[in-house]
Amino acid sequence: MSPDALTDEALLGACRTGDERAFATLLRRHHPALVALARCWPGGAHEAQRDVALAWLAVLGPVRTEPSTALSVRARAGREVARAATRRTNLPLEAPDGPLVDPDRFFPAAHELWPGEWADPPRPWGRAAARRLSQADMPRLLARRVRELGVAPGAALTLRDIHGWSAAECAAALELSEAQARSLLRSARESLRAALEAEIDSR
Amino acid sequence: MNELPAPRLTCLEVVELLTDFLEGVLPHREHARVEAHLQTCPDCPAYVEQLRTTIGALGRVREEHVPEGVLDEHALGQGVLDELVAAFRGWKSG
Repeated sequence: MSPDALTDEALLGACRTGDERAFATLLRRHHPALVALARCWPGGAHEAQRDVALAWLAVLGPVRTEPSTALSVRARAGREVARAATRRTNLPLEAPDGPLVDPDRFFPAAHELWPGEWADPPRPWGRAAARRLSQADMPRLLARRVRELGVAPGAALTLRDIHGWSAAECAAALELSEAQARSLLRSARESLRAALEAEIDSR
Repeated sequence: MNELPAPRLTCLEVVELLTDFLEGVLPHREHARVEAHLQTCPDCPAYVEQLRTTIGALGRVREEHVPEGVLDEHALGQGVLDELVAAFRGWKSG
């Protein structure tokens, strides 16, 4: 059977018997997301590659009986990437402080008529915005904004929204509760939405 | 005794709950409160649409869009693949 037809778990098992094709298949499947995750921490591409290599070394190591083996292969690899990048940079994952959306965009809680309602509401994104969003430079602009998010929100957004990992895999890779991971995601998505809003409103 | 209806959420509260709403993890009652707000609020649906559009746009970000010209270095080209497979050979024999 071609390695491409095998599940990640089956490929991992084959890797442990020394099957190089199985390892190459796992790499092709998950390398981009894992390097993108490592790149959320400071450092260059070389450091990120090293984090990912260390992660595979850890994942391919002896089968452990710890509860984490219930995780998907990529979540285990992601967790090892995050650990390696944290050790390398001494930067733990920290949630950003502060309100989600600029509080000045809402009427204050004590407002007589509209407490907590929008004072400066978002405008619907019409056709012009759709055209702007479909332009070739937009993914590059978003990728640049993701790099500016900071380690923790950037990592959560990279795994969940760019690489489509499940919420559970994302939380497990970052060794957070799902609620903590969602909190990071909330902050990261709002930052990206606000960046797009500014970009679209400026046109 | 009938349960009192929950007070209407404010826009600020809805914005705070939206990621949990979109991820489908809000308790049923809270989910219904957000939906009820979105049906009557003139402004929040635009915010939801912006958030969904942003998530959709992020799904189109690929390796080649990553800044600082790291594509050649971190994309899984044949060179990187060979290097890692060679390392794998070393691990299994080591």
